[in-house]
Amino acid sequence: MTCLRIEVQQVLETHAGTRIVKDANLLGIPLRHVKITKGYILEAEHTHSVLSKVVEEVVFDLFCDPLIETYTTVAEPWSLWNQTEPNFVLEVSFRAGVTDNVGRSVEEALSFLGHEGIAVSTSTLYALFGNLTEMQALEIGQQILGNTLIEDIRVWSAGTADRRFVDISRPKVQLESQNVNLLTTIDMRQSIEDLLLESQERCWALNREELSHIQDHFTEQNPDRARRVALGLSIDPTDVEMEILAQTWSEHCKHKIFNAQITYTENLAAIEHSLGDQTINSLFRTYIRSATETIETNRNIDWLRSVFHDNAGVVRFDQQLDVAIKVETHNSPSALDPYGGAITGILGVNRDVLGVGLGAKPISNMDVFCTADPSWPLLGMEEQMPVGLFYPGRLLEGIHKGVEEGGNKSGIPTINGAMFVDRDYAGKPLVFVGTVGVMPHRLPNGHSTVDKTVEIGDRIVMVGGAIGADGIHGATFSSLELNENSPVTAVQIGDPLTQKRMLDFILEARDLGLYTCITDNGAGGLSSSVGEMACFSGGARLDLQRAPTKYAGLVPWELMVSESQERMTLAVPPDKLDRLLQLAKQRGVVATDLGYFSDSGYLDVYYGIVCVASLSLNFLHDSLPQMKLVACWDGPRKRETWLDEDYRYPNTNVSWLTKIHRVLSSPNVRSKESWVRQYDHEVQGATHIKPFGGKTQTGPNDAGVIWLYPHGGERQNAVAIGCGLAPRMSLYDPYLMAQYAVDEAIRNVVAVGGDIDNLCLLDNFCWPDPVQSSKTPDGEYKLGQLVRCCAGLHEICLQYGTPLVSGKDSMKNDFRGVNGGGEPMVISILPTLLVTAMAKSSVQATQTSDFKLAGDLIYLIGKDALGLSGSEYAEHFVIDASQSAVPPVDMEMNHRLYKKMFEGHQRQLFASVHDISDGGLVCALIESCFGNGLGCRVEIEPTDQALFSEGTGRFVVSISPNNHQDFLRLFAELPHQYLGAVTEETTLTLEWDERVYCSASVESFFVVWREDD
Amino acid sequence: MTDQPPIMVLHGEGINCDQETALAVRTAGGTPIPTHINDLVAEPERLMRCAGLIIPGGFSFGDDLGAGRLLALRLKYGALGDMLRLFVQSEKPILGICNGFQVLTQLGLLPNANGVREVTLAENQQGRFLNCWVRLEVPVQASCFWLQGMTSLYLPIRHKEGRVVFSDPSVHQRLVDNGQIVLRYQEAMNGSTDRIAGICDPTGCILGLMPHPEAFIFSETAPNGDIVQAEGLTLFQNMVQYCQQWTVG
Repeated sequence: MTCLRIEVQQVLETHAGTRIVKDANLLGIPLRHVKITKGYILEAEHTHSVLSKVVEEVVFDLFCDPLIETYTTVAEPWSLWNQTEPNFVLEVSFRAGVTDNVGRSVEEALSFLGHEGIAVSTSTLYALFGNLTEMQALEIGQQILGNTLIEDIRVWSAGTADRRFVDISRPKVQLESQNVNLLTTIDMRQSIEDLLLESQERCWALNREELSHIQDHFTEQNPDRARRVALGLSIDPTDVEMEILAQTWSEHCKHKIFNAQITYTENLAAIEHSLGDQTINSLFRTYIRSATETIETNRNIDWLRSVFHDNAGVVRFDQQLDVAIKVETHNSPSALDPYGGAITGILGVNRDVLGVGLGAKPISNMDVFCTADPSWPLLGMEEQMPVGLFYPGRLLEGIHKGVEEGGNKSGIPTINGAMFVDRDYAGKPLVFVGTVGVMPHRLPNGHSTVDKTVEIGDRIVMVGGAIGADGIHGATFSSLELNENSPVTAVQIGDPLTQKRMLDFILEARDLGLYTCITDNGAGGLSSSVGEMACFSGGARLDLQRAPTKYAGLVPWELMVSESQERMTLAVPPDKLDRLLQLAKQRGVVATDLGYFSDSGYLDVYYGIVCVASLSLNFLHDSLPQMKLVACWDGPRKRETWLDEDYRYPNTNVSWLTKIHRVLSSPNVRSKESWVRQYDHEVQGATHIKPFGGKTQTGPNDAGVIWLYPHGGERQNAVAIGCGLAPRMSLYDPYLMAQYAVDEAIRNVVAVGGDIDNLCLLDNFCWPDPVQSSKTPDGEYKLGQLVRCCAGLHEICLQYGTPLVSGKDSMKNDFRGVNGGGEPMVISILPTLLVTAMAKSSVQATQTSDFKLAGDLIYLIGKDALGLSGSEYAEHFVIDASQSAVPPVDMEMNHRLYKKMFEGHQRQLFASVHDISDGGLVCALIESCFGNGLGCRVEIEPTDQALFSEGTGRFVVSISPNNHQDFLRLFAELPHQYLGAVTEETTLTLEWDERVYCSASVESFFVVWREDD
Repeated sequence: MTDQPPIMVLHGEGINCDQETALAVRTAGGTPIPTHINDLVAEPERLMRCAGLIIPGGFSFGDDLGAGRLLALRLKYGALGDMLRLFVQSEKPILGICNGFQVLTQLGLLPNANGVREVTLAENQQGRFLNCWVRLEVPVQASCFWLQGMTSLYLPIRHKEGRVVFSDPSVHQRLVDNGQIVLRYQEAMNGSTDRIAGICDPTGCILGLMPHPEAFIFSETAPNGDIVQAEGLTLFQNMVQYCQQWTVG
């Protein structure tokens, strides 16, 4: 084998290096300047001279754009860096087995050009200039540029860096399992303690009850015993079987907590929204599904096409199209590798939508990130920060880049999202990713697109990427807390190109009617996808030896549970198989026939001729005893915090301007524009309301609107998509937290023109571990919080008549480790419910948040809500007892109001609508000024509560004087308050009793609001 | 041919603006012929059955080796490469949007349709992807049918590599003199030389531009309610019209 190294350097200066210098200087490292170079290592069985010749031939086609780049293949001293010797050269390259998309593309391109058999891996080199030490160079590599979980970081000092052109080698996968048996059996006669230990070692995340349930099954009395013997299986389960059970029964896949029997008690004399002591048989059935079923019956709605049972919810808001929607979380992977975790998250939820019914085309993405303040650690805070996790800034940057590349490269617009900052996400970030998709009601062959079918004998076809060791144990790992031993294999890099090819292929095959059932290979890999699809026909038989692999040496259990990305499983009628495989080949998509669906009642797994697993579907899916848990609620508890300092300001002797600046510039209120503009938000040509509006394109909109016509829908039809979350309310009562989240999500879509009568919701719960144990002594309380959250959600859904159509939960969002000072620490996230709303709307009747014209009248719509608890204001200023209340949610009133808002939109009464949420009324007013560079003069009582309260059900609207009378008539029965008028002069003027108490230029607020980037 | 000329719209391999581009062609009165790159490689004659070709935006081959580079390779060699050169010689119109523009420069079809690479699209000065709407000017010297009747346009840009760079200042001057610079950003956007957003070849048949005309075929996708004229459509109408004349001629 010969290896050759090529390095390519861009000649033009860009800002790419400035950020690195800034970050290094923040770490106290005297870095002055960085030059970035791309590295390629080619490996082939050719001689060195042959390989060099190949490179010479293709270099300007492939590696180097001669107009802007130079390259070298030899160690001419510092030839790429203008003969200036850097102090250090740092190289970051993927570790063996980690997806290297660029390397893959070079290999493909070389083969287009007739050069087969050349393996390629890539790296990035950073020439560091500045008076630094080798340790500091390495620190830059580890803290800023690379992630040692998935990347190798090498440092060459001046004088030795030439060696990289001499000792060249490509990373190769060395599988530990190459030395072990293909198949092992698990001894069921060992003690439960030993089994627990084995479960821990093997990352099964099975608990005592589950292990003992398995022990009880695999005995001499096992009814399947004779069958096992005939298949050559022992009485004890194989490792493949244990892994399948572990994946299928993982909290991630099975939602055991949401389906548990919960004994709930309230230990509180007087309690608002009391639920009473009760036993709840499944939170999901009691509060979530029943809400939807009741609403469906009571309102007699006919547009729910597919709810809860498939990969996404599907509704019918259009005579041509069905609309699918799904939101997922990818918290644990993003904590370990922010970029990889986020990109696999967004690509994964795209596949959920692609895997609903017979496949929906993704038409928009959403994302919500919860992290600690990205500017942390502040000076002196380092000792308190958790060890082994990325600092919030780096984390956010990586997460954002993952979502950006995943969406942009897939050609799916990112139209809505949020970022929420709180200290308690320092131990684990939350990464919510969502996708909306569309499919025609029927295929050309007349088959309804929401219905999946599997016939006996249909082939099991896996499409997409090959299987590797990356992505093993994602499902079980995410069902555990984060600690230093979290498995490296759970980390993956996404490959948008492979997925885009697969996506195009699947939609083409769908329309040709080449398959009848489809699902994503997400958590649990084949074990979950085939295991679930087998239920349609009543069995399946597959041969893992046929599965394409990234490299040799993977044993059957790894093949079965690997979550290697960009794969889906299809059920293909035998007479369509050839056509499907041929089409896949034409489209450059790997598709493999792995076996067939049967009615045997078993999931039978082979490796060649050896049977490696045979599990009855009944045992696999329906035998697990319901979990029994205890929950309690005794009112809000004092907030425990891992952080010493209180960063709040006193509430007195502070000018209004200072208060407004402080709130406006807080991470939760300030502009996200510099992040959002990096997402393509209008590819596919159907984005009707974009993230920012007005002539200046800086007015933040409340929700995104996607027009359905370009996707084949009715001419005027659109869907508005918004989200809401209020994690800090869970400190007071998660019951209210749920209602705040629902109200905000609905308010956002109502603001842009969504119809509350045609609106569906999604619930995504992220919770700290709610199961009482020695590690979680307050588990019962946390479960109590979950119960109350579900109950609050249930009630508001019924009140608003808005059905839940899909949801997900993520349950172990805790960090256990040490802080920078070496002290043990636990950080649990704030109990968090993200609510996503999608409403039907018409492109003829939408509105944006920006004031349009001087002279328009400004009204506050909705009931003034008193109380500042849980508000952004209260994060920054100490509030007094009279302000300490969570504004109540008047659901009856809000519901009437939202219906009226829709009517107002249809009559085109509004010139602008902006919902009031983070930062309160004053921030909503200021934001409304930005879009068209206007000002406003308004009369508001000068109190903290009037300016900053975040109560529900309120909007700032502006109205042309021509519509004033119509407006007053329409809102006669509802609270509305005249505030003032839009002004040509770009100043915000607040007055009361004919006295101006705060006035400043809109520009000055804009500077404060706009994030420093 | 009918008066709805067939216009090939490439798709597959990471191209992702193909569907709205096809809709733009249809709305402008043409017949879009969506064609997968692999099908075209397998059967290059398909190209000759079309009156025009559009390489839409997206991330062809993930842009893994530089924007548009691998798709250019795919189109450059073998029978398809020959067919493409024939297509160019027959002066049928070719439109490259965003990633498609990058492909045309990598192919050496722009600026001179002679295979020589004299212009490239480098990374934005900001060093990152940018999605925003921009006001574009059509220079008075611009001499191509694509922008006939237009003096300015409002369109979104959505790219990370859109900064026009020439191999030599003389190339820039030549393009200015020939009227080959057909679109400029009103304000500096990405560090592009001379604020260039789009160029055509000397015949005017090949156009490459970074902004996305297919994103503004309907006023419903305007960035704010004041704008009623969807200015991207005109460009496609001009293309369709040119294809008709060419068909008749």
